[in-house]
Amino acid sequence: MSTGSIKGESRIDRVTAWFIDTGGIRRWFSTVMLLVLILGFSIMSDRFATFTNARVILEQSVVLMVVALGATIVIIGGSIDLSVGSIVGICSVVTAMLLTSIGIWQAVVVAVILGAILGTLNGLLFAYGKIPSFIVTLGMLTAVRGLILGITEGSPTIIREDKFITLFSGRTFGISHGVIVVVAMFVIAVFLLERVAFGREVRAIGAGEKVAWLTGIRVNRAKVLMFLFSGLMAGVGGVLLAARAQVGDATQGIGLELQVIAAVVIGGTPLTGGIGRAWGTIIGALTIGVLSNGLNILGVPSYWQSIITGLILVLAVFLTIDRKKIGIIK
Amino acid sequence: MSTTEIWAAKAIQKSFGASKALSSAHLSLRTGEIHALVGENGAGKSTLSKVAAGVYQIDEGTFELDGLPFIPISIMNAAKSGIGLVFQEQSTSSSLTIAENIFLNDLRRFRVGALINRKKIEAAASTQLKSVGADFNVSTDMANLNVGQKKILEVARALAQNPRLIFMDEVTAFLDSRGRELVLKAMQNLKEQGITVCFVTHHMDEVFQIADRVTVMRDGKTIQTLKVGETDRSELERLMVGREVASHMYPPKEKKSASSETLLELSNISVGDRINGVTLSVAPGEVIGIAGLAGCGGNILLKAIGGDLPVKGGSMKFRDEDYSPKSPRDAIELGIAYLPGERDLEGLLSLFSVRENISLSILPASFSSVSTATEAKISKQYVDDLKIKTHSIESQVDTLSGGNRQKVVLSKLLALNPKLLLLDNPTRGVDVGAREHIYQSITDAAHAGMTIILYSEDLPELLGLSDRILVLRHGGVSKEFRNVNKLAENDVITFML
Repeated sequence: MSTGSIKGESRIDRVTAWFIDTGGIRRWFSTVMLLVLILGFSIMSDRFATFTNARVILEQSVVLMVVALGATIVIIGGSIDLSVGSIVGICSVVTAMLLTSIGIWQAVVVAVILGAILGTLNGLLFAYGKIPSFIVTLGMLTAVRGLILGITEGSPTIIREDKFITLFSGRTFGISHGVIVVVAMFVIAVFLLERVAFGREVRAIGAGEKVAWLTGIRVNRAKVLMFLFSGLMAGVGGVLLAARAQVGDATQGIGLELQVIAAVVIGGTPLTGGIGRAWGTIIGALTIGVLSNGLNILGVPSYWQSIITGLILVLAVFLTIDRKKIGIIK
Repeated sequence: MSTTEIWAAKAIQKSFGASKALSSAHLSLRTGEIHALVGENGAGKSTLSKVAAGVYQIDEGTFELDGLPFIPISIMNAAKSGIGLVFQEQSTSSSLTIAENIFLNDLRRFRVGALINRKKIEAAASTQLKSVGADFNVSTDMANLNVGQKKILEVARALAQNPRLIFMDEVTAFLDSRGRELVLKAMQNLKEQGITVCFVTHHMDEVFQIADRVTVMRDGKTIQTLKVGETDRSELERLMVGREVASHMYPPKEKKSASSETLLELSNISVGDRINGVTLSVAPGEVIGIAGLAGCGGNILLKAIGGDLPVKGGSMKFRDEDYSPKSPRDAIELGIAYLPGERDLEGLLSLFSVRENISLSILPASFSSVSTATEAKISKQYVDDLKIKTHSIESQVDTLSGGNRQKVVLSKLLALNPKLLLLDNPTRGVDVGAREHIYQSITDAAHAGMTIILYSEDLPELLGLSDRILVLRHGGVSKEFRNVNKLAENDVITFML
């Protein structure tokens, strides 16, 4: 269908045509839904649409956004990373425990590298051990959670280094430092996924691994790298969580992987791989953040929040999945 | 054998997208006969047996069962009316027991509450196997069965539905001589029980060994039905090929001076269990054709040279150096590009655009930036050169027709500017117009000095494009034709069967 401006065509027609041409409901569902939610909450409560509340929502979502960005790479590659919650947990705990002894930056670097190493381990077992990523990362989730309990012996480490807390969850000129980290990670994710060949390799593996292999793409190497980046982003998420919670605790990050997957999927990246955008994931994570914040303000009990988030996740997939393209749905 | 007609197909037409598989298929089967269906690849034999058994729906025409119109709407519907089908492909599941595989469509017969009565089902399976003359035990593990026995099992499964008429689609294609004997014996058994058998085959000796009558198909049409006793091999072959070769479709071959150099050398190589001891030496700039029936291993041979399958025995040399690729990447780095036979599964990323598909082979290093502009320029050039019909280079590749999709895969390989190009059935499922473009670009590449190994199930294409033809049979070379110019299809077919 041509979109050329025909005389007499109304503005609405042109907007509609542009909407359809750029991907229609499939591409824009998450954005439209986020706007509808924001509009709805703003009408229902005058406490919602304030600068302060907007900043609260953003700050509450920083960990989810950063971790989900990394997971987006893995999911576009057609795999899954269930271990991110545990990696966030261990990196938060390790940061908290090392801050005083080895210094702030040193602790942060150790935590991020630890995340990257655990991610790499996922990738190696998946790519070279030929074990499905679901199983590898499920094992990692469980084993690392055990490791966390072992090293903390169950007791939380309170963070008293104000400098660290300010550095990663303070504000400068009203801008949250956590949000700046998110922006940096977003730039890295976009660079990886869209600017360099690595992103194309990952998409090719997600879209058809056999084709990628036959075309000479180093499939195993790309698989390890995508898990490395997911682990690294989870490590950064762990540092942010430590700063926000001001404590390293054995229960941190439990269940985060499910929120992460929800954010990625609501953002329009199908679990079948091959397509997806970093920007969609940010929208998806914000949708979850806005929903929980808005429902809180309205005094909706938390069990309803779970029910609504669940319904929105299913609705998002129902409306955005391209069944013709994906073929068999399992 | 009586002369009553049990089943007939009249003026059947069936298309898949743009390609017409059946344009005028007729077939008449008599009660209790064994009827062979023969023809070249793509003649429509498999399609006819599949529409007869309800796998696909026909576009035009009619079927008659006992003189009454009967067009099955599904496999189950056909089975209930007494028409069974044994597929060419394996359709047994190794996670089920032998008995469960046989009664897959009718497990409820043996249900006791939520469970299956093991004794009852195994007893029934045993009877079923005996009726096809099989000699293996039902309690055997599926993993212990060979391909021939698995095929027998599928025959037994079709029989479990008490059919009066069974279609068998190239059931012997992948079997060795022992497996083939088993299946032929089973067919004979069926005949003795009064069941009509219609089997598709490429093996002429099977026709003369077991069939009562034979029908020849060509290009989706029925050519003739003959009594086996009143015909011979050469008549059948002539009827199978009989078409006029549209020679103008193939660009003229360039006169090449005999080169003493060798680009690729295969010494007695074996791959998997399909290729056993193939020796071949390829000179730079040659176009080598590989002929053979489906299942002859030509695709496997190309995969091995292209680095997709490991070579089990023998050795390969490329430009006088030992060559043993561990992945397609190793092959590509040396300038060897492989076009897979399974276009949509192995050649194309349907989620990607035309540009992204073409430039997939020439991506820069992982962390170097991609230039959309360069990719667009290269893609546009191939879209023009190969006359790829697409709305734009940004269109998703699955919006293109089969022939144009194939041109995209070919462009992806040509973009590598390989020294050696391996083509597995480059025009399979491609319409005539796109074929000519593909032939032209293959010839152009050869003129530019590219060496090409072409495996094709389309004989006219092999004769039209190759400088030299190698015929494969049962995993080995059965004949080499050094001069292709005066070669007729019959000459080649003789060495394929």
